[in-house]
Amino acid sequence: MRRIPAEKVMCPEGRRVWRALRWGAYACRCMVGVSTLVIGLPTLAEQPVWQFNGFASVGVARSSFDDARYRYVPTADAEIGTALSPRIDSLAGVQLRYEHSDTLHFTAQLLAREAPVEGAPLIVNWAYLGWQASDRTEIKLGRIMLPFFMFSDTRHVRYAQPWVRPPAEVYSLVGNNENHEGAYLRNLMPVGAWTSVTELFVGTRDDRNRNTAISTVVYGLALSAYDTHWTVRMMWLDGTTKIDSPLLGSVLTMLQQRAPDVAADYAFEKLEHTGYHTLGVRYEDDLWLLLGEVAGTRTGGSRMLGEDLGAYLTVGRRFGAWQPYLGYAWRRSNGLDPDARITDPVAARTTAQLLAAQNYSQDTATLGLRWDLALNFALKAQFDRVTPRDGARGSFTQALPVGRRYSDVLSVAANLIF
Amino acid sequence: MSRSARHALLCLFMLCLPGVAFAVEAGEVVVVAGHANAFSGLSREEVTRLYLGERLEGSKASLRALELDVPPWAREAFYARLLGRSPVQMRALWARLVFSGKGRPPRIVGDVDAALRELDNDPNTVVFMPAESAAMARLKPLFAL
Repeated sequence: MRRIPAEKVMCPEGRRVWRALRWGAYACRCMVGVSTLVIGLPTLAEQPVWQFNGFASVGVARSSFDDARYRYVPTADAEIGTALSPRIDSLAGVQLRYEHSDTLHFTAQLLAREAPVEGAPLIVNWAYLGWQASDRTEIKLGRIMLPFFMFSDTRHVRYAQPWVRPPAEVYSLVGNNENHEGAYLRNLMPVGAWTSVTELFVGTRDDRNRNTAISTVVYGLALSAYDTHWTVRMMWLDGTTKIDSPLLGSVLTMLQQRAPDVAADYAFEKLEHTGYHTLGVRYEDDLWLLLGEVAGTRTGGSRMLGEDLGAYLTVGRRFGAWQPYLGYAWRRSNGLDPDARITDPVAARTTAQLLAAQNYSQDTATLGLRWDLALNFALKAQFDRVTPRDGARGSFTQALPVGRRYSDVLSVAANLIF
Repeated sequence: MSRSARHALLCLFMLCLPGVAFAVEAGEVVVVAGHANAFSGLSREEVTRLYLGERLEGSKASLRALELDVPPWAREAFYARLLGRSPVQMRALWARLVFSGKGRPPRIVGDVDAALRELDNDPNTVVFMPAESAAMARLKPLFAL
């Protein structure tokens, strides 16, 4: 009987998981081989250690309008109207870690959440082999969540954050990116009472849904330093992005016919030097919490796509188990003004509409309260006043009703870790 | 003689024993190891790094920290004095380390008796506990707060 490869009968998500696991197994074999050759047999622990952890968030949210529904990630499906909805704040994850030795481990993390656009509600976001190459340096190979911003790689672990959800103005800049296949190196260097951290990473991702197929290769560097209270961090990520989009393709074809002089500026199929950059700071002591980040996107110079700049500042104060917090977040989409060089009226109107639809400029003022009922359990309530700016629709499904300048998003959530 | 008086006398007796090299202060918390542990002490920076989930360097790379669940005051005093944080804040920090694979947070043990068993089993294990408990168990003090 002819054997059919397991990969052939799987759904796309299943194939991605299968490839990640195969990648991890291959990496594992390579790493064991390398460690055997280079540093001798790894020091085996007295016995293999399995570690099981998990996290969950059960939350609901509502916004002010049913026609202009709020979206946390503007390019994702989850929308919040006037009815309480669990779509953006309810998720759960489990993690299994196997310590083969003091220097070698394998970690996998499974997340249950609403898929951003389409696909299975379960996703393996982490499946990597970790190798402690030296006392200060660790290498990961396999499927990883890249550390775009300060909370990017733990953005689903809501217990570990003060908010119900990280500020959309920065954390939705990565769109529907969830994980990458790649490698990650982290080096820690003590400097007095501080620790400096260097992170180097490279990853690939193929994302295909009903709207687009996006293929990315990224590489990045993050430098940070922390002591017991302060953390400062900067990150630069660059890469190449290939986009297959019927919508964008039709606009480009129209421009090639009606505005051939400018059409080349709108090419988008293969974009070089796309990426993100960020600067962040964190302060925390037993009373005060300060968090701030500024982040930007780069779209490789294509006139078809806008670039965004986002920032947020959050201040919290602890009163025992209670932590009220205030925040303000800001996002501006740039490079989306109508192109005066396009004189053909149909081309001008179509292009202007396409560009305007990418304008997610908005501000959000936040007032929230965290209540730690136990060491691993917290309740949170959050009020967000979201105001689209610069004539944009912000992250809403359409422009707010005439005469309304903002929408209020109310959220409550219970967060747990174990 | 009441139970508390007997307890106090026992503590006084233990403090007079040779080999117990640190003075016990009210509410003092110490980081200790079993007597098979090879090190004579840890610096504040080293203890800080251990409890921030970092690995120490060189011969101390094998040291692993435990967190003592009971008594709660010892945990609160330890984190407040060492890191200026509460146990809840430490849990949030460790959650970020665990779920991003960026560190090895201390494993939690229930009480002093459980900690003593861990220290007996592994000389590279260190744990904080009330100085009084450490003195009674004749553990090796590495750092005091």
